[in-house]
Amino acid sequence: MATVPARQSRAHQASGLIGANTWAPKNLLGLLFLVIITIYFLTPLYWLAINATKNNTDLFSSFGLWIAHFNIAQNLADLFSHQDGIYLRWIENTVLYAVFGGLASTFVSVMAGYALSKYVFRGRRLVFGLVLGAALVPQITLALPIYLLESKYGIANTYWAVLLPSILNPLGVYLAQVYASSSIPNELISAARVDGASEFRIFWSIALPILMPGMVTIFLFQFVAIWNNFLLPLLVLSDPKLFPVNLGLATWNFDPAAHELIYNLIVTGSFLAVLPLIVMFLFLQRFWRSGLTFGSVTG
Amino acid sequence: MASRPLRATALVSVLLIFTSLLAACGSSSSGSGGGVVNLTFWSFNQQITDQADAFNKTHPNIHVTALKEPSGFGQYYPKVLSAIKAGNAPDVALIEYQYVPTFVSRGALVDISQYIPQSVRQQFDPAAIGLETFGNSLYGLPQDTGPEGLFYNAKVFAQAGITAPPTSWTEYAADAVKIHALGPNYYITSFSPTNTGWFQALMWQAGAIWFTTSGNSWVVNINSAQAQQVAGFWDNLIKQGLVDTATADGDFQSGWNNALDKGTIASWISAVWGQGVVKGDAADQKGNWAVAPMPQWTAGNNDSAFWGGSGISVIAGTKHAKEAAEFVQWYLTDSTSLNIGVQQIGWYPSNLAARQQALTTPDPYFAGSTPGGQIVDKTFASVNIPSGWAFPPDLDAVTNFEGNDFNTAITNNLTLVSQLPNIQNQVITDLQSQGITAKAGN
Repeated sequence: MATVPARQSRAHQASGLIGANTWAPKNLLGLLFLVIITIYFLTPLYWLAINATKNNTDLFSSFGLWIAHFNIAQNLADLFSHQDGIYLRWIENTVLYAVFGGLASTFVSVMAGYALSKYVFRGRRLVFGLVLGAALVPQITLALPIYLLESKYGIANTYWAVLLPSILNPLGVYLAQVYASSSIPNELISAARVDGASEFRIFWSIALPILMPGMVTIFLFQFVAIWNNFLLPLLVLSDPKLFPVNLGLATWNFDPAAHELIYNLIVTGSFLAVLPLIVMFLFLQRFWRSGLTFGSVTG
Repeated sequence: MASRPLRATALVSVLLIFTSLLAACGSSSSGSGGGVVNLTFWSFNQQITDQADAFNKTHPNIHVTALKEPSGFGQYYPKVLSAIKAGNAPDVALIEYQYVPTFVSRGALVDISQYIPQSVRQQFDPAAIGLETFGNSLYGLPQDTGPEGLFYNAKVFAQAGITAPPTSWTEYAADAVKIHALGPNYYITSFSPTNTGWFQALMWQAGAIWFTTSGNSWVVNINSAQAQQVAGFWDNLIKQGLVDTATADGDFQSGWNNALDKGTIASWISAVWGQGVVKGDAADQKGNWAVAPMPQWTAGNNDSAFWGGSGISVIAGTKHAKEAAEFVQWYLTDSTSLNIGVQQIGWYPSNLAARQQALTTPDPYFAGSTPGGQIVDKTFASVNIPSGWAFPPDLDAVTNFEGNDFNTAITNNLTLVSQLPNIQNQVITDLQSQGITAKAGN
């Protein structure tokens, strides 16, 4: 953790410099561009927030970007009581998948990346090449093979069915390798060895603190990926009690036989489901920024 | 690309290691002790767990676990097919009629004819039983059906000077002119070229049977004379700008929901389940809507067609086909289950006795033609469903070809009629490429 304040202050200085130039007339165009981009990215979120407050009729009959009858309290009450309050269960599941999957994935990635970076062994380049290649394989293409495999071993339709594949993150291993190569001097490890520290001690007490900002980046990547993953849970889970929130909300989508429309609950439910991600980013963004630039100098 | 399988293998082998490491802590699979047969049932209806509970209470030797799955397009059916491949399939599942032949042609459904006696089959709507029957085989029992009628906004119709709903398609076309005269935004209906199932039902109603079987061969009749007549009718309305072809105003799109609520789209040819959609989308039009039989091609007829509707099938790979069939029969004939289905889920049941009981309550929302409200389901109870319609053995392909070609027609000001031969040829080629015998019927 010791390196973090230093990095942060450097980041502050840097942003201060940019800020000083922002108001120069020649940068107004750039500023305008950023404002437009910001609006472009935030409009869907704004729409979601506004429409989470509407009832089912206003959802379609009122202007989409402004409030109508303020129905958020009723929406929330209905959301948490519909189907015996299964929505809360879905949120809990998503948190469980994303937090535990993200943490386990980060830890595995950092261990693998550290080993690939600091240990010389036969086949190291091959393994790293495979990891790099695996990072290029879209996860979506692996969903069906994973499902078939899980079915064979009897873990389909269990928590493990989502958690286990989530632990693997080739991109995370790759990032960890780059971070470790660029931020942990070999001399530091040699010095620790001379002092008699075990390899695990060196990893745990010396490497991990240095790698912390990078780990947060890897964790965030994976956390968001798991939070948003739809296809894998769709295939491997069949019990609604195990569903993450995105899959659960999909079961509330238009059911032709049902004589009721609950689009308002789906919209409100979607809005609530993205809030934790936003909070997460606000809290961890300083790590995220420093983590992203971590390997960019030497990597 | 060549190295992709290798990488997948590498990942998978790592996964294998994890799997074996964690196999010990894997969550316990449901124990099947004491001679109890465990069945899994997939559906996307609500309240199915209540029905399964009722079954389990009265059947000590069978335990059914009912699971509500996501119903979205590209979600439910691919999931069922993947589960069959993985050996994880449910024993029993809801399959909509239009997908039954697709599943049968992939060997995904179990023939349950030996378990379901004729006396049981006679309790159901024969048109719906027909959609589950192929030769002597029975691939499910019908749960609910979607016979079509004309939902219309009687207030808007009256403003346009229309005193009674159209009984013929000729009157329908004349009414389309009157309604569009109310204002440039007013239309008798939206017409979405990609709403393929809806358009097929219009064909079916006219007796333009697109698919039939003859022995082991599929006969494809998309370009028949009747089909050209139906497509030509809509071409005429589209050409005159009397129906709303804007993409955003297609059925279930936000613009359409809004237009129903404002009253600018004045009617909807839809199935019996459409009443829930109208009520939900056009809450501000309460009391103005009404429902009438479909406009007819032949005066004096009451022809309709199914749009949607589902059956319950036994899925290939089950080890307990007999018990699964027993559950299917109970699910669709037992009064407790049917009550939940009709009262809470909202089925328009295929079970004829249950259907009679369902036709009792007037709905004050639909008070446009009857003060106090219509008994909506009653309008749909006496329709005639033209016989012989079969759904194709590769529904997704037909949906693609029809949707794409009609969409092209609308965007390029071509006629729907001009697309029919093309759709027919594409469908036949597709079926033949899958080893399914198919030929043109015209």
